[in-house]
Amino acid sequence: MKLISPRVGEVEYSESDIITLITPFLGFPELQDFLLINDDASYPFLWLQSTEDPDICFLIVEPEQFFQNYAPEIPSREYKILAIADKYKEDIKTFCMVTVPSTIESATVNLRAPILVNFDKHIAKQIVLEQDTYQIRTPLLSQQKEGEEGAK
Amino acid sequence: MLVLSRKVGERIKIGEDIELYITKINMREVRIGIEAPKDMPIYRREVYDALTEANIASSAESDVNKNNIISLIEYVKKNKK
Repeated sequence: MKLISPRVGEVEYSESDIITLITPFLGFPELQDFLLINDDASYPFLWLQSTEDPDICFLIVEPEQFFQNYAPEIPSREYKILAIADKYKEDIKTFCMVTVPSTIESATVNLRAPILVNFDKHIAKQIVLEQDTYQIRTPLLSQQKEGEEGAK
Repeated sequence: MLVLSRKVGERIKIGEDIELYITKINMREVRIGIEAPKDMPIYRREVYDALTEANIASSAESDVNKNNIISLIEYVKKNKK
C-alpha cells in the first residue's frame, strides 16, 4: 500500500506496519490507523502518520530524549487495556506529541498525555496522566538549555 | 439537562454500564466515584478540551509549520551531539 503525506512524502507500507489506536486521539475521532515512521533525517523525532487521512501526521518524540527523568505514573488499568502483563511493562514504548507553533523556541511537548505503544500487538493509546506533574505544553528546548548551563 | 439531587453515598446509574456515586461533599467541591467499563475514556472537562486543542495544534499542517519543524529538527541535531 502507498500514501502520500505532505510531511513525510511517499510512504510504502503493509497491513502489518499499521498501529491501531484503542481509543482515537481527542480531536480526531475518525482516525484509528497510524504508521510510526522512524527515519534518520528526523531523528530523534519520529512521525505518526495516519493511513486513513494522509494529511494528518504528528511529530512525536521519546520523552527521555529531552527529559531524562520523565517517569509518569501510569495506572495499571492502562497496561491491561494495552494487553500487556505487569511484568512486561518494559515492552511498552512511550512517545509524546510535539507542537511547533511559530518559532522553534516556542516548541512544546505534551508530557501530560503520552502515547503508549505495544509494538507486539500493534496497538496504542494516548493516556492522560492523573497528576499534573507534567504539562500538556511543556517547553521542549528550555530543558536542554538548563542542562547546558548545569554543565558549565 | 437532567438535574438530580443526591446525598453522600447515593448513586446514579447511567445505562447498564456506568454508575456514579457521591463520596464526599465540601462547601465548594464534590468527590465523585465513577464505575465504568475500562475502555470508556473519562476526562475532566478542562483536560479534555486542552488535550483536544493540543492534539489539533500538533497535527496542524501549513508550510510555515513544516519549515519550523525542519528548523527544529536541524537545531536539535546540532545541539544534542
